[in-house]
Amino acid sequence: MGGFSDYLETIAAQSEVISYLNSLEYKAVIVEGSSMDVSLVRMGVEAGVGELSPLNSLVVKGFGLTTSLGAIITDAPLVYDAKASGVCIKCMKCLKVCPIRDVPYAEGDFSKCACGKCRNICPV
Amino acid sequence: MDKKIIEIFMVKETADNQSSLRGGGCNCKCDCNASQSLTICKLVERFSKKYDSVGDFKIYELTSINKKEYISRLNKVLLDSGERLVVGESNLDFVLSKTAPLIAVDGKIISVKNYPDVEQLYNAIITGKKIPMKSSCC
Repeated sequence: MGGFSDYLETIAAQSEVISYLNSLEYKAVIVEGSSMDVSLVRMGVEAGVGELSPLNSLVVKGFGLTTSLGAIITDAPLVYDAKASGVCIKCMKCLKVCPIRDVPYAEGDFSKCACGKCRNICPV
Repeated sequence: MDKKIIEIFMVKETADNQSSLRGGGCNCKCDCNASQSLTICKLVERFSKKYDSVGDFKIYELTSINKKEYISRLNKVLLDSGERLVVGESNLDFVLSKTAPLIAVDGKIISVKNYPDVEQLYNAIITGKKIPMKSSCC
């Protein structure tokens, strides 16, 4: 539960990237994070943005679990980043405060969780 | 206290979400001219009934004929709220899918993608605090 300036900032950033790519005549579409068919966390891991946490959320260096994720698919010839490693220090603090999870990297739909305790306690 | 101007930016809801509406018009007598926005209409109606002296509503519902005016007013509200998001025709659908209904009081955003109840809206107006977004996991 938080303010929405960060949220609007994410929308602004995505819009600006789309406009920039379109101005260079590349196709670019925003990936809807609300779709259950697409995992922005998985995309973040594959893109080298961060690493999977024990709660299957994205740990980003310097930001912990506090990031808002957005993704764009484009045909622009981008240079790939390497996958991130060693970001999560495996302290398991996020797991310990989670009210609905007690097994690390458990599968299943936990999208209804919104308490934010893990975000606040992550030391990364 | 001066009466506040409460602006609500919204889009038409899908057919699935308006089963209780007939005749294509808002039938809650709130005079908002919103054709398919029962939930916001109810908020407006109930708020006006309880806190009539607190504020007047302006409802902006996007149509094919008011797009420029809609974008212009939305950008003014975003700018006055200190946000760097700029809306244009190219990203309007995307932005609205992420933000509507967007509520502003005296030109400053107080709620995004949320349907507050009457008391939440009243408290936000009185205290000047933003209404928290309903969070979801990504």
